[in-house]
Amino acid sequence: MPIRVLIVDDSASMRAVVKKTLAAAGYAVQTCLEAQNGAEALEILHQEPVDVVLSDLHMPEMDGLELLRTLQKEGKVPPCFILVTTEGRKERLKEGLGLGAQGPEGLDF
Amino acid sequence: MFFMVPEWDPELLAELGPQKAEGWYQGMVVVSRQQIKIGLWVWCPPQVSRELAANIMALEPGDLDSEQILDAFREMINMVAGGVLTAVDPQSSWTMGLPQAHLCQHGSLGQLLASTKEQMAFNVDDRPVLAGLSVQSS
Repeated sequence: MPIRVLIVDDSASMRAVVKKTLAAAGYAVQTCLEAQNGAEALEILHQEPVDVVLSDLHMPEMDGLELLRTLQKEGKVPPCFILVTTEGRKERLKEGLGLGAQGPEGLDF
Repeated sequence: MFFMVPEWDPELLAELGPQKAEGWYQGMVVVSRQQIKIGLWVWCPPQVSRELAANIMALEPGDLDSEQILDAFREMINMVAGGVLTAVDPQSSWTMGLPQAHLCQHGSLGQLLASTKEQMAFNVDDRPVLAGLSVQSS
C-alpha cells in the first residue's frame, strides 16, 4: 500500500539519504514531504495528514522531541513517528518513546 | 560505500602547522553542562571533505557542490559528537549544540589549532585530518 511520508531534518543531505534509503528498501512512497525543522513539520502536518514521520532529534528552532511533545498535546501524533538519529542517549530516547515514537532508528555510519 | 579509516599520527601536527588553511573545511560543535563548554573541532583538506561527503550522501565526489560538502560535514560532526555523548553520557546531562561548518579562507593550520586546548592528527589514506578540543568555563 502506498504511504505518505514526512522527512524532518535540518540537513538537506540527510533528507536525501533517508529518501534514497526508503526507495532502496522498496517502500511504495506515494508522497514524500520534507521539513527543515519541527516547526515546519508541524505546519505541514496541520494541513496534510501523513502515515509516517521520520524525524531527526537534533534541529534548530524546534527539535524532534519538541515536535513530538506538541503533536501529543494536540492529540495528532501520526500512526508512525520514527526518530532517526545517531544519538543513542537512553534518557533522550526514553523520552521519545514515552511520547509515542516508534523506534528510534539509529544511524550507523 | 567504502570506509575511511583514520590512523592517529601525532607527527603530522608539527609538519602541517605552517601550511595554509585556505580551502580546508572546518567543522565544530559545542557540548555544554552548567558553566562548562567543550568544543569539538575537525579540519579536513578539500579532497578528504569531498570524499567524506560523497560517502555520507551516496553520491560521486565530483557531483557535489561546496554547500553539500558543508552540510555533510555538519552531519559528520553531529554523528561524532552524538556517538561520544552516547558512550559517555547516557543520562543526558550534557547538551549538544548545533554543528557548524565553513570553508577556511585564510591563516595557517597552526593558527586554527592554537585556538584549541588539545590537538590530534590523523592519517586518512595518506591525507591529514586534524581535530581539536577547546574547553571554556565561565
